Amino acid sequence: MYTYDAHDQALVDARAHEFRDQVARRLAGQISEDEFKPLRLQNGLYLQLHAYMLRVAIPYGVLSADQLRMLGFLAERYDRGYGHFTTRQNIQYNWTQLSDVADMLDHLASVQMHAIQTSGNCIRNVTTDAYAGVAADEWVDPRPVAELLRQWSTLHPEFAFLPRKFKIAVTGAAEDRAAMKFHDIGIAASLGENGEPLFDIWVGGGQGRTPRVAVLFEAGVSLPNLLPVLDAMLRVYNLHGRRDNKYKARIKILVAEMGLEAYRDEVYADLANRDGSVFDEAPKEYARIEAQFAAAQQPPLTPTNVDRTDPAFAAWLDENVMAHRVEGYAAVTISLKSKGAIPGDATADQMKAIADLAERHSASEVRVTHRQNLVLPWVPQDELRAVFDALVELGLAEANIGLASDIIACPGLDYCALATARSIPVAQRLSIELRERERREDLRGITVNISGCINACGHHHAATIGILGLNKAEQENYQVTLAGRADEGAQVGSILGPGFDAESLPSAIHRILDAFQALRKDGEDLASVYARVGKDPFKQAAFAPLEQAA
Amino acid sequence: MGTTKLSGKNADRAHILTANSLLTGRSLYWTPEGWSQSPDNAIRAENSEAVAELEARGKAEELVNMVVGAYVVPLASRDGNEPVAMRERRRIAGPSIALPGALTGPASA
Repeated sequence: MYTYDAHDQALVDARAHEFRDQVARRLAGQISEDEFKPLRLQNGLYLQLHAYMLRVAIPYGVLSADQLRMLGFLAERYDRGYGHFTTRQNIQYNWTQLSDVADMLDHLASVQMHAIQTSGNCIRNVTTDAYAGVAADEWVDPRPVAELLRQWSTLHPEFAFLPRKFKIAVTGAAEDRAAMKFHDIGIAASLGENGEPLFDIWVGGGQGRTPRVAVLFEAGVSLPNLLPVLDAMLRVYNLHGRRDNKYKARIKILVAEMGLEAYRDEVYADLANRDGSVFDEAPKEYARIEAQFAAAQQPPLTPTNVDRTDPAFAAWLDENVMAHRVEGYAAVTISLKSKGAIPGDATADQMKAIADLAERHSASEVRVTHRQNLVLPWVPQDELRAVFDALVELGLAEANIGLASDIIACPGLDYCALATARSIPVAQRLSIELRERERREDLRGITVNISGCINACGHHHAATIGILGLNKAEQENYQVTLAGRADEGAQVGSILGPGFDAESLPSAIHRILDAFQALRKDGEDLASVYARVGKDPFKQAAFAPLEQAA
Repeated sequence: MGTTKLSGKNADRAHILTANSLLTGRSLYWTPEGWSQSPDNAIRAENSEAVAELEARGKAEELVNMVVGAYVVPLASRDGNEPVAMRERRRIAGPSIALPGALTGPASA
């Protein structure tokens, strides 16, 4: 893992100290809410429906055992005993008090964490593949470049007030497990002929009310050129991005309106007129960071034949355990989606227990996935049974990673000030019903993602079955999209038709799955069936009972 | 929130004043005794002049730094304090789900 140097530590310490002073002045009435709001947002503090919510950055989803233990402590000490892991690999505390936040930031700084740039129109937490450094199909470990980007973007004075928020994801494997093409900028790393990393830069992806799959800006950018190019891309966006209309302010709209060629031309024109020497040290810094991650790689072990006679253990091995690039290890995904659970929520006790497990069985490392689960990335194969038994004790051994019941859901109208409908109760009900169903039939590859508003924090556009909660005459209404994909074949789901009320939604989802099972050939996934037969059979299935009743 | 225009459907509705606590962020409602976490005893504005008075009260309360984001909420009926808007009904009711975890910290209060 990356360990802060003196500069990193001084920065987060100073920022926590600064926010303590800002809160004190706000509580003393020395600054107004209008003055304070941008300051608190720059430190990840939102005012939601019922309370302040603090969003803490988990850079590229990597946590040490001590850091996860601290997150559990904060939940217990300052919140209501739980936290919510998000689709951007962060954690949110839903019930914080303003007077406690400075203490929370001090605690976070003590374990090299912070909440900087988890809100506001700036470059947000850089995300990546939760299996970085351990995935068997990886070409380049994306964490060193993600850390380089963290350093470049943190408190970057030119990019603190962009036209809109800006999200970057990095991947370095054959399978895209970071939804890279649904980001403002996506970076796909591969190895060049000389063994040096090369970076394909994608631009203009995103979800929200105008979902777009990113387009290729430039292939094969070298490491020395990476930051200069990204800096110029941000600068052109900062100059031309629509500040007059927040719904048209993301870079995806700029690229669509300018055209990719014109945008690219302007970026390179900007680049040609800049002194790039400021980035001369970047490759050296990358090497320093890379060495830290390399040092944390574990030595190979003798492979173990794991005893699969226990069916529950065997099912968990099949669904939750991933092949590892280093001999003798496995990567274990801990499902935060047990039947009826709130997706992404973990209690303080669970966080602390998982931290203990990581210490004992996973080189003290934990990862957060963008599907709101946790990963133990370094489990020796001969310790898998012990990990499974411990997870059973914790109620965290649900064997459903990658199955339909592994549902993404945003906080929705139960917490969020922007939401138009609830997400969590829908996810809970569907998780119970789909868990039952997937015991009887193969629902691998079906992703069910639920967003409580058009902002799409629940990634509904990128799901094979996406659900968008809307407000229809002050009643919850749920629009369904089909055949979205978040992986390397990213595509935006298609709207099936009018929405369903909360009561009729689950049965409509079952009828869609019935149609899928009836139509699929040779193990096709839902997106493939949809591509072959189109929308109509699914639409007829979903709406048939409603039309009969009409 | 800006001044509410009492036009259309809201013109004939009663309104109450809401805000969030500066310290805790909790939803609050303006009552004869001051701010309350419950809307049960909230002061109702039955006409546009009374609504304007409530809004002025909200702005004044913001200036003394007890609350943030004060605004008036239209009610569904003349008798009862249920808001028209689903969002406002949720603010009053709280999360509809069983919360995970033990209620341990100061935020539990």
